[in-house]
Amino acid sequence: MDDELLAMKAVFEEDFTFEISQKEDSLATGTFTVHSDRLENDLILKLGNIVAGNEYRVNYLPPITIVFEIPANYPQNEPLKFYCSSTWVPNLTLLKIKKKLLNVWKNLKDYCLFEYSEYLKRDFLENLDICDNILCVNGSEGLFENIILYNKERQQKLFDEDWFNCGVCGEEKKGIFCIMLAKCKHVFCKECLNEYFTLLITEGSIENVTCPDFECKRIASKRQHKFLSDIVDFDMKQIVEKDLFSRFKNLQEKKKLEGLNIIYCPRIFCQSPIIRESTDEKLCICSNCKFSFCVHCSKSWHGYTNYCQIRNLESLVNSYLSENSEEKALIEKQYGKKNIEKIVFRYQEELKNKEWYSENSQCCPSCKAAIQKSEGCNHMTCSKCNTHFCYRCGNLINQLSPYAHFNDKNSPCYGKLFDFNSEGNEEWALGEFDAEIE
Amino acid sequence: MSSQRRIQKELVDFNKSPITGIEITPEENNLYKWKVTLTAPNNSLYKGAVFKVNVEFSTDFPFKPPKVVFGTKIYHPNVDDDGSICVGILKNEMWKPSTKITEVFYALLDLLENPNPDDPLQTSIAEQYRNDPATFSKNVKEYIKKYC
Ligand SMILES: [Zn+2]
Ligand SMILES: [Zn+2]
Ligand SMILES: [Zn+2]
Ligand SMILES: [Zn+2]
Ligand SMILES: [Zn+2]
Ligand SMILES: [Zn+2]
Repeated sequence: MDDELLAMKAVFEEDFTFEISQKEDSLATGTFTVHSDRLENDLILKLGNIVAGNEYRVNYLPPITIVFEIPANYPQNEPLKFYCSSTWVPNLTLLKIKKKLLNVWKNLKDYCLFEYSEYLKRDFLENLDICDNILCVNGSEGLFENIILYNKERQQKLFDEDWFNCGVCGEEKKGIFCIMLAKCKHVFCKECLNEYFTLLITEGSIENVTCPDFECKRIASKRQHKFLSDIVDFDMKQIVEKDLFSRFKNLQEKKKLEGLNIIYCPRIFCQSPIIRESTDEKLCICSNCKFSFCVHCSKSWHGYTNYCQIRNLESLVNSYLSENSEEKALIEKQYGKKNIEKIVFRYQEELKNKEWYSENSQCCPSCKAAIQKSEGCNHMTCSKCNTHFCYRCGNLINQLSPYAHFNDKNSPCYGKLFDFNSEGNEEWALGEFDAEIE
Repeated sequence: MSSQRRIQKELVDFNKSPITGIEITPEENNLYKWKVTLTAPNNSLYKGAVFKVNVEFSTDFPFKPPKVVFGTKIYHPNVDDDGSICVGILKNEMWKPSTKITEVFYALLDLLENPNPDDPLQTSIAEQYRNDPATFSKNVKEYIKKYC
């Protein structure tokens, strides 16, 4: 029997199958499934307009299969007869790949199945539509999911066979007995994680439910008023029993609500937690450093009647006005319903004001201050820098003969010392104009 | 996971790479209690002093931090009269099960070099450390003479 076939079988085991051919002009037929190597760079998947999220970046792509027949004159005088098949590579691309593989044989004129596998492990990527680490795939959404699933399986297999040193028990354990935490990627043995989290959830100290690694910090800061844990549900479900998991979720929910009534002192060196008696009270005094501040803007206390300078007022108002009722409730809880309504009302008033100004004002050509004209002539004097200018065209006006701009026939504003936006005022305005010229 | 195995491991690891200034002697027949001597770093105000420190592990170790207490009286803003210590990594809510015991000793040595008046157990000593370093230093020396 053929040496190449036996060698390939020995290396690729179940991925390589063959059968001795009964036909005269061929030696054997078979299939050869080649799994890609780990990609150097993660790929982001794109299907039409859908781009998979960052958490779905892939390191492995599903295999390509060669279905082959070995002709009698292979390898010196005849190439391998074959076609490529795959669940995810477009047919046109498969043809391109086949061409490349045929060239491999042309250059060698020798056994080439091993070389084919090398090409299909990595170099075949050159035929795919990859740009800036984004791989465009064609097909259904199911295909998308299949690629992601395949990648997960390969990663899991690699992980299961690997060895890890659990930082809690200090022992070397095979990956299959370990868990990699989804957020920080730290690995511990399941036994230790289970024992640790079971203890914490049972005694109710769930704020300690974080990655056990010495240097792994909590990701968000406590000032975000949220319960923080870098253990996601996906992790927890794998680690503890079902009833402990639901206890964990319940406790988390409770802590979240309590968290709303806790505010942290805005002084950076203090940051002590302060429990608020009512969410409608704006004034808060830190029991530790005695700093009195406004709960809404975190600035030192400015009295009940003065407005606060809220830093990201726009995004606050927008998220309050958005459809998300959960978010709305959270904001109401934090600021107090009446207060937030006032804040929104004031914000909208100001916005309207600004719009009105930008429509009804002209900028001073020197200092750019917005000057708004309520009545009177178009000869303006900037209240800030005393520059004289024309309200109609925005040009500077000579202070010594200010009306020349309106009396010169070549001026764009000839005869327009008074002109109002509304038609009805026009006549009256012109009348006044005549009178003044006299 | 057995706490005993992990404590044994800590001892083995420590003997493999010991820390200058730290000596550990587990109690006879009780691996869970260690007698430790801590020689103050030369660049600290406590230079020349040798302190006794008691380390006690619970059966919940490493899920709960060990209790670490000064057995020798020391004049320090972060150590109170009965030897209790205020160090971040030993606080219940900050403790991480993968913390190596050597990490704890490094923290203790660091505490001698850099007292932390912002998180004091003894506010009057902390204030003195901040505002009157000369008197603070004098008191440190007196305590060392008297108790070490
Ligand atoms: Zn472990
Ligand atoms: Zn971690
Ligand atoms: Zn404060
Ligand atoms: Zn305010
Ligand atoms: Zn101006
Ligand atoms: Zn003009």
